[in-house]
Amino acid sequence: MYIGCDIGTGYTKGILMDNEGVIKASCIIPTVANPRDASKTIIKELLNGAGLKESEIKGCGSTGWGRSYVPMQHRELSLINSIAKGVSFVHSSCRTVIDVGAQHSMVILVDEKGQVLEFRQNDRCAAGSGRFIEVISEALRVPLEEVSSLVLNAKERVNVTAQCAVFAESEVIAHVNDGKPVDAILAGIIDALGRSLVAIAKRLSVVEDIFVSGGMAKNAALIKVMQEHLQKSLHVAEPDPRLVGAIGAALLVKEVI
Amino acid sequence: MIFAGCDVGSLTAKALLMDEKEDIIAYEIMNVLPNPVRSAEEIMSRALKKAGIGLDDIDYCVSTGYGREKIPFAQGNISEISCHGRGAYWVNPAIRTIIDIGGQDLKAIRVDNRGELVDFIMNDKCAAGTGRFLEGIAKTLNVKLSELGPLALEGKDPVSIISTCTIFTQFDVMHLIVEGTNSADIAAGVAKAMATRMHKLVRKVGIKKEVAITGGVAKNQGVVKYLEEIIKSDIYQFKDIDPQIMGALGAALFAKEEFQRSHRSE
Repeated sequence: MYIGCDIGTGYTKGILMDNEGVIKASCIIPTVANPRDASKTIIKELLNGAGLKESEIKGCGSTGWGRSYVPMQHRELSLINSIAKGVSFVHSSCRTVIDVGAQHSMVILVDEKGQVLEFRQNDRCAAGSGRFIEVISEALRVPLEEVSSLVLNAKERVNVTAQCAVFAESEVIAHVNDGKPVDAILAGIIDALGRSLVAIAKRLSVVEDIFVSGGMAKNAALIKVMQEHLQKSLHVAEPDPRLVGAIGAALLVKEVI
Repeated sequence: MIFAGCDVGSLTAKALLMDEKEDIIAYEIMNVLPNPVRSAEEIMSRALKKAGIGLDDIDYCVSTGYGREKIPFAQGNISEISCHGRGAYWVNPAIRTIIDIGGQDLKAIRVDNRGELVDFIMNDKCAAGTGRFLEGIAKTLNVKLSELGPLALEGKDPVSIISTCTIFTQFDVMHLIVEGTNSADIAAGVAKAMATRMHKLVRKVGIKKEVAITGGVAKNQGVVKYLEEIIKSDIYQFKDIDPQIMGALGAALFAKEEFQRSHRSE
């Protein structure tokens, strides 16, 4: 058995994989700025859930922001390589991955073996990340998981000009004071995020099939907006777009052990 | 005669009244209301009340700041860059470089020996280095904005802040808290990061003595200390006047000038 962990700034993800590459268990918990506790919990959950002891794990691959905190012997892996590997393993036709995490967004071109050919990322600024939506949904007091359906049903869309998440929050409050409906404001915000992401993708010549991963891939409204701006069809990474980094980390550690 | 300056920013509104001898009669500062016009009306009525006069007593009013074009009682409006330069130079004519930190922008302003604007540069695209940056950090550290400066001065071993983005820095700070880092060292690290950001901007217009900081962040002694270290020069400290009022002060001085010009030509 192998373990793959992806300790992100938003969520900590872990999977248990057998020798044939079959995913036996998975677990996702919030990191809440505490990678030490989150990685301890995830390892415990995976081992206890399968009734395994740490000594029965042949290898543990860890990736993401908090990768060094995993409380068992592990190999630290690049997040870009892990994501590329994880998506390609499940979808052999994948040539481009768009990953949108809590504090980063990246576009990766991969070959048929899941190896990284080229990538572009934004990890400097919240403008193109999940945090952007989180900040706004908090300001509007809309639960994050309701954002997508509200936007898909919105009849209008306000224009959001600020790129900075902090300034966008002020802009959103101004729209609320102007009496604009919440769904129209959120539609403007999702459109702004979609445009930021497509701008990164356009710096590379993206090749189909294109898969979207990371927490924001679960937002159907965002996928729709990105398809419009990119003029290409997008697919959501299976089995869960949030798990691709952990899957890739397990596969990469399995290759070297 | 009464001249007025009204500065409606993104976070605070300021109003100042002066007479024809350029003596300051009253000034007031408050947090903005959702609507810039209401903010302007409220802050001006507070200043007028303090001075014991009414709106009709004002001979000329100039507005400035982000809401400056919408102020109904102002006869003219002038950019906050000119107003901050003018206000700071009036307080101390030795000032040549002004770093103004607003709620949502960061500006570096250079004036000549007559107080005329020579050059300026601003960042209003990103919250890094603005008042909103410190506001966000204070919230994460669970301290008042006014407590952040004294806390930073207590820090002995400032943490290194890697992120530029305000949102990401807030997350980094949360992580440091979880790891048990003391909040004084965090506040010191944040003040240092803020000073570094200010320096990157101000060096583009050239740093010429005296250097002054205007806007609310001037009150954060931690930021002042680290900026002094970086530029290897003292920063002029406003003593009897609030550094946040400089824009409104400059606007009132322009109001007097405009009034006298229009009356001379008649």
